[in-house]
Amino acid sequence: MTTHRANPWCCRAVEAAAHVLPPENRERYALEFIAELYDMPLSQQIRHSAQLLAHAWALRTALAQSGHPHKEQTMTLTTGRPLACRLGRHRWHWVSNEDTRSNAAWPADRRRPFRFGTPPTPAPWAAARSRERLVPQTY
Amino acid sequence: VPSNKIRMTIPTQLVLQALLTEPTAELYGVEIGTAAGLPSGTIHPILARLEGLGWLSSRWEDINPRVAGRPARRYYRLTAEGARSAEAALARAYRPTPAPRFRPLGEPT
Repeated sequence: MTTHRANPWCCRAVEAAAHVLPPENRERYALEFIAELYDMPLSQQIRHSAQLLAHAWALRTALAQSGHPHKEQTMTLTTGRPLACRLGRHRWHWVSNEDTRSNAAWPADRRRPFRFGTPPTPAPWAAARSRERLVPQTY
Repeated sequence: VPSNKIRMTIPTQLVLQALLTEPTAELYGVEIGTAAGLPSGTIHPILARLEGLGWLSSRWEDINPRVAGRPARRYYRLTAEGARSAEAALARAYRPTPAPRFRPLGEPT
């Protein structure tokens, strides 16, 4: 078990640092920075988050120059179905393979756009919406 | 960015030296910073560059956050190609300072 929890203000600071980054890297680095705050004493958390905040622009430049390969979709939790699904325009389903379980929506008048067992490619609007609907995790 | 165009700054060299002490080990950002003796904020831009070059690979720690009481960390390790390239780049970057040549005063040249 961890000995020190992450301070909420330090979490906000590192989230602000991640907010400077390109959108495809933002979520990954926010989670990475927050995870690093755990098991640190408060003074070190403050110092660490301040340094991350100070070097956020350098990280952004490094990511932009290097053509970073990480454009991964992080698993997110959603609080409910999107509005289009509630209005009956989309259907909301849980889909899973042996690794992950996620939800996806597609127009109600179409069939499933993928074969059974193959995870769907999230539509751009769904990916953007899932980023907006992040639920903060508590540990 | 071609691998021969990476700027081998002193912090980059320190990070590579820290990673090359145990090339198969997986370390997360703070551990790399501690091993390299660098402030933690300076580590991530270097790691991002090296990862973009393919010298490093990273993965999320495989833990249950509820049991561990903390979120999963992102662990970095050198790839096989990265270890070779890093050693070659460090060898290129290391240029010993030439020893000063002193002559006794009055000695003919």
